[in-house]
Amino acid sequence: MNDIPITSSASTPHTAPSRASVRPSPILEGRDLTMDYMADAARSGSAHTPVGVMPRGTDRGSAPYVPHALALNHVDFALAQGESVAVMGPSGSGKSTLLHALAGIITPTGGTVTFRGTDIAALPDAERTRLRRTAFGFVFQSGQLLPELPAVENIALPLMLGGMDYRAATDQAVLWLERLGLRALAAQRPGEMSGGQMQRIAIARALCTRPAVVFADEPTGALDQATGREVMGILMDAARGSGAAVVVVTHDPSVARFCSRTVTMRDGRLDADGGAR
Amino acid sequence: MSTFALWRLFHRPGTRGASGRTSALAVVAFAAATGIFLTVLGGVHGFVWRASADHTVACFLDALRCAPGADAAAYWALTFPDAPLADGAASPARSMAGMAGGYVFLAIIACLLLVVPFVALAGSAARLAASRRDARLAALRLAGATRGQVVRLTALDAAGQAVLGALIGILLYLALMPAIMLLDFQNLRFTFEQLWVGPAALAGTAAGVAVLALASALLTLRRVSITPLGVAARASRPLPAAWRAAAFAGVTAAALIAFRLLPQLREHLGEAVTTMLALGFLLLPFALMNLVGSWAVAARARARARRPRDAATMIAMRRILDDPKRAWRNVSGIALAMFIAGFTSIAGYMSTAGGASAGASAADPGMILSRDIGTGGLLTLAFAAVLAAVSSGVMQAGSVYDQADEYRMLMLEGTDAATLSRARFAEVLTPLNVVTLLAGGCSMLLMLPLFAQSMGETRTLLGFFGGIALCYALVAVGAFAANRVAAGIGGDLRRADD
Repeated sequence: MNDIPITSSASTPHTAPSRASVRPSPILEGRDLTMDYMADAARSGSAHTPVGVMPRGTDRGSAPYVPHALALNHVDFALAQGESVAVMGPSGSGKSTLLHALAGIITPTGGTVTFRGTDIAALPDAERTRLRRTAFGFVFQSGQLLPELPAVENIALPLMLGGMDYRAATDQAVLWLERLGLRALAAQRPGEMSGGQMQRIAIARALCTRPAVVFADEPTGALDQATGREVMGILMDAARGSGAAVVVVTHDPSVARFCSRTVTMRDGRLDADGGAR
Repeated sequence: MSTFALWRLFHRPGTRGASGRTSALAVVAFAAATGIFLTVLGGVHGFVWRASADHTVACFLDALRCAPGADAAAYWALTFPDAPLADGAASPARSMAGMAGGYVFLAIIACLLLVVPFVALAGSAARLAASRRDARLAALRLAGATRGQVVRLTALDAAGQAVLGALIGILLYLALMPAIMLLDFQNLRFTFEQLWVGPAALAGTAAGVAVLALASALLTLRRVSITPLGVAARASRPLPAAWRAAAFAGVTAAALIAFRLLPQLREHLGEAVTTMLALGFLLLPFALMNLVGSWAVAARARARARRPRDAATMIAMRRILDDPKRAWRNVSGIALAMFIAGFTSIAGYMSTAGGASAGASAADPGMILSRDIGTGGLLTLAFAAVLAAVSSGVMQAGSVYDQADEYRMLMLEGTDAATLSRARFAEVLTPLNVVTLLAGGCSMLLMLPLFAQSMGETRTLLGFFGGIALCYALVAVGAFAANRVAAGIGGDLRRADD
C-alpha cells in the first residue's frame, strides 16, 4: 500500500516512474483542483488562473482589487482502495479545503473530483449528499456528535438516515460499541464522556456504514498525545478491518506516522517534496 | 474601557453574525409584544373615553374629578338621536351609558388575559437575547473584564434591544389603529382620539418592556458573573416528575366537583362568592398548565423516542427530552389562547342565540352588548393567538440558530436537508399537539358542566374547534416560517478553518 503515490502538479516529479506500472487505479481522484473563496463570481472565469489573483473585471461591482492566495492551487490528488494518506501543512495552507473538496462538501472553483470514475461535481446535490452518507465517513476534531443523543443512537444515526429501522440500526451500533470496547458508554450522552471517548464514538459512527473512504480532519487535535495515539490506532485498525481508505488532515507528525503516506500542503499547493513518505 | 466603548466593539457592522440575527429576532418579538399590548390598551382607553363623562381617565375613576356639567349620557345621545333623554332609564342612550362601565370591565379582563402571553413573548425575547450573550460575556470575563463592566454591558445591550423593539412596537400600534377603527363596538366605530393612549402610556410601556428585558438579562447573567467558565455541560437532566400530572388532575377534578356543587354553594355562600369561586376554579387548571405542560411534552417525546420510526423523529424527540421546559415554552402561549377560544365560542353562541330569542332590533342595547362580547372575544383570541405564534416563532428561530453547528456537521456527513427540516418540524409539532390536546381538552371539560346546554350546540362546537384550529394554524405557520428563514440563513456549508 505504501507504493501508491499521491500525484500533484507539484509533487508528480517526485513520484517514482517505476512504481506507476503497479499503481492500482485510484478510488478517489482530484485533478487540477483550484479553490478561490474570494471569487464566487469568477468561478468559471478565473478557474484556471495560474496565480492566486482574481483577474481584473471579474470582481463584484467597483470593489477594490485585492490580490489573494488560492486555497487550492492546481492540486492533483489520488487515493487508492484501502490506502491511508496524511495531509500535513501549516494553518491556512489548504488542507481542510482539499479534504472538503475531495469529500464533495464544497465544489472547487476549478478541476474535477472523481469517485470510482464519477465526477462528484456533476452529481445533483441530493446524490452528492447520498454519496457522502453512504460511501464516505467523517471524523472531525470535535462537535460532531449530537449532544442530545446517547452514544448508541449517535452511531445508529447514519444507518437510520440510510433507511434502516431503529432496532436494526441500534443493534448494529451496539456491535460497533463492543468492537471498540465502548459497550459501557451506550447510554451516555456526549456531555458525559471524555474527549477521547467522544472521538471513539465518532470513529464508530464514521465506520458503521462501511464507507469506502474515511475523511478525518484533525481527529486528535483536541486530545493529549497518548489519547491521540490510542484514537488513531483505533481509527486505522477499524478502517483497515472495513477495507476503507483514510485521508487524515493533521499538524501532528506522530499522527501522520499512522498513515501509509504523507503529503504536505503549503499555500494551496501540494509540496514538491511532499509526495510519498 | 467605558461600557459604551465595549458595546461599540461588539456592534460594529459585520461583526455580529448569529448573535446579530438573534438580536434582530429579540427586537421583532419586543416590537410585536409592544404593538399588540398598546393596541389592546388603546381599546381599553377607548371604552374608558366613552364611559367617562368628560372623556378623561381621571373622571372615569373618580366622578368628583369630572369637568363641571359633564354628562355621560350626552355622548350616547349623539349616537341614538331618536331616543329622547327625557325617557329616562328606558332610553337606549341611558342604557348604553349605564353599560359603558361594564365594557371597561370586560376590556380590562381581556387585557389581563393577554398579559400572560405578552409577558411570555417579552420574556422569550429577553431569554433569547441573553442566551446568545452568555458565551461572549464569559469570554470577556476570562479576558479580564470586571463584573461591573459585564453587568453594565448586558444592561446596555438588553435595554437597547427592548427600547428599539418598543419604538417599532409603537409604530406598529399606530399602523394597526386604522384597522381597529373599522371595528364596531357599542354600535360605534372607534376614533383616533379614543384609541390614542397618550405619550405617558407610550413611555410607560417602553419603560416596562425595558425593565422586563433588563431583569431577565441580569438574572441569566448571574451564571457568567459568578464564574467566567460559564459553559454548561450538556449532560442528562432528570425529566419532569409525574407528581405534576397528579397535581393537575387533582385540581381539575376538584374544579369539576365544585362546578357540580355550584347550586348548593350558591345557597350557602351567596352569588358573588360563588361566581368568584367558579372563576377561580376555571382559571386554576390553566395556571397549573405550565406545571403539567413540560411533563406531558416529555412523556409524549419519551414514548416516541422509545422506537422512533426514522432518524428525523429520533433527533426531534431527543432534542425535546434534552430540555422539555424549552419545548413547552415554545408553545405554551397557545394554552391560554385555546382557553380563550372556549369562552369565545360560548360568548359567540350566547350573543346570537340570546339576541334572536329576544327578537330585538340590531340597535337594542342588550343585543349590542351580546354582539360586542362575541366580537371582543374573537379579537382577544386573535391577539392571543398572534402573540403565541410570534413567541413560538421567535423561540423556534432561536433554537435553529442554537443547533446550526450540529446540523451543519450532519449535513457535512451527508444528512439531507429534508431530514433536518422534518426533525425541526417534529420538534415543534409534538409539543404543539400536546398543548392542543391538553388545553383544548381541559377547556372543554371545565366548561361542559357550566354551559352544558350551549356546549352541545353545533355553532358553539364549530366556534370552539374553529378557534383551536386558528391557534394551531397560526403557531404552526409562525414556527415553520421562522424555521425556514433561520434554516436558510444558518444551513450553508461554510468553510472550516485549515
